[in-house]
Amino acid sequence: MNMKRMERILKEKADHMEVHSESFLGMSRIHEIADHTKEISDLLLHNCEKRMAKRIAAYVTGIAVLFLSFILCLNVSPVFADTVSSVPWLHSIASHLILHRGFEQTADTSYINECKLTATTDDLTLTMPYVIADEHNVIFFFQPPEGVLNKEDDYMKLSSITLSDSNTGKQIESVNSFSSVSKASLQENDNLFLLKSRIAGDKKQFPQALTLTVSFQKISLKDTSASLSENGTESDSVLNQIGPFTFHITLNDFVEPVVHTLNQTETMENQKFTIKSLKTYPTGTEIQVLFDEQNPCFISDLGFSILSEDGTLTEVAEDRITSEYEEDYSSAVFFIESDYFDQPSSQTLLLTSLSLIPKEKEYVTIDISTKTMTPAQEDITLLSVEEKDSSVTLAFLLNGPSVYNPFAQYFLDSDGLSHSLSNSGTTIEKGSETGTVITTFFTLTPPPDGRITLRRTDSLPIPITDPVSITLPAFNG
Amino acid sequence: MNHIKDIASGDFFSLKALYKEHHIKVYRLALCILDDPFLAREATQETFLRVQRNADCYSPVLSEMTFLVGIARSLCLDILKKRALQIPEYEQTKKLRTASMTTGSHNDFMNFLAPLSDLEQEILCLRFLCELNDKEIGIILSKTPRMIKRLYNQALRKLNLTYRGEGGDSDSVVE
Repeated sequence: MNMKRMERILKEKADHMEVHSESFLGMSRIHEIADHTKEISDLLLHNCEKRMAKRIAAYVTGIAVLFLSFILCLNVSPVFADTVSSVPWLHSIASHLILHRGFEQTADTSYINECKLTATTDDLTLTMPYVIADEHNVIFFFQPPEGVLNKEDDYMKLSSITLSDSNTGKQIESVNSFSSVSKASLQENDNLFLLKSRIAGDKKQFPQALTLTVSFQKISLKDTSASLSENGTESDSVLNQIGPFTFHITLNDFVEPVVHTLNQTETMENQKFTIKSLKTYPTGTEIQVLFDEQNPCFISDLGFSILSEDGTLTEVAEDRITSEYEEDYSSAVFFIESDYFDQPSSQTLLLTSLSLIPKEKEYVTIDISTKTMTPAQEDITLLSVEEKDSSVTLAFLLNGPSVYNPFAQYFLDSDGLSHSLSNSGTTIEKGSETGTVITTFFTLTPPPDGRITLRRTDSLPIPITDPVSITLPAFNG
Repeated sequence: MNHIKDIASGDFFSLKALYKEHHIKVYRLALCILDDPFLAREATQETFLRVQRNADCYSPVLSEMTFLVGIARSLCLDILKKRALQIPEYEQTKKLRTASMTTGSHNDFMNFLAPLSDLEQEILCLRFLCELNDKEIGIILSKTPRMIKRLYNQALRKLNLTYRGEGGDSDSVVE
């Protein structure tokens, strides 16, 4: 006998029960029983409300659980986040719910070339999922080959790079920058690392079709110490060559930059300069600055800081800013790169320092025999002149806390001929009594008269007490 | 159409209409609780009179049948309690009631439910005699609809097992 049949039997039995056929009399003989109808009614209503409250609580809980699951999925599953982001009205909601903002969720996806290219060499596959490009900059995003950076101490640095036009085969002369990659840096940046390429100048621009060949070196510190202790010498196995990897990239049409003309003239430390314009690209902002010919000094560098919404000032990191000067210091372009791992937004940039080179001290003559420097410089001192065989190593003490390169990478002899410097470098020594001592050095082959002329390229930054504010708009071209 | 709201506004015909529509269900429930046709008739009449007197307490959140059954059940239990006070050997009465379940057409139903607990019996009475759903039964018995459904299924399973064990076909056992 199943349940349905049992229900049928019960219904039949109920239907067979005797019925009360008496019509309504409007009277009864048991009214001596106390009338609790009001209490009963209240109890029934209370039970009903309780049930409703429970049902509402269940709905609210259900919705809350669904909402939390939605947030969890958005933050855990990039595939889910991708799908949600592709729905127009959900995209804006999702963007507010993502706690850890990965690259795809934060960067403005409309300017990203999703190329998803791979290149394999020696069973190692390097992936290039994205490229962001404009006429002057190409940012390549890579994912490292699996298992290459599996230890905390492992890191990878760029070994070589060749960038060429795929159509003509002509090599592109670009300035490339790359920061070494470690497991920790990958974790911070969604398992991505960047290679930045820039070509400056209004008349130069990247072609749409590029061929990039890169190779890297994997350096394992632990392996280094082990191999040194066992063999006494550094082993080749410590440095592993990875690559070369070749990618053929076709870029989307470049988005036109948004130009904001400012013509904002400022005078600081008796130097006049004009912030002429801002050019905003998907990859960053170019600030064009003109320097007044009448200035007593050349402005060799400008220092910028970002003013955050909470009022804190952060110096723009060196790897996010590049400057390109005209040879005669008449103008310069400062390129401030976007933070690709943060949401695009407008920023307030403050000009917080400038570096000056007095025009009469642009060229410095060193007499190797007398070990003297004329004219004397305020920010640097000739520390030592060491002659060895046919070469001379000159060392200079920088009279300040900042690290900069005071001289161009060449010297002029008495006949005005240019010769390159070699083995240049900087040392920073931190002593408890002496403070930080920064020295810069280079080696050269001296001319017969022992007199060389160096050209100043940079100097000690002078802080500005009343910084100039520039608003960097977010790119929305 | 809501009779009880009309009754609250003094419409006597609505009371008659309500009586006509529901008195059989109320009477059958009273009969099962009181096991006395005379008292059940009186309880039915009194239930409708009480509805008339307290119609303003009614909230449309409740179904009319829930309101009626709530009043009828409470009244019947009050009558039973009063009878228990009048007859100290109330337990004897209960036993007599159980014994009387072998006779009378109304007792066929209660007799069939004898293997069940009081709560299970009450749920089946409200379901089959008053034609209330789980939600309405839950409101009357202060239980969740889910609990009512669970107890209902449990009761059916018990009956199923009981009557299958006694000879397979329940029809042959009861009828």
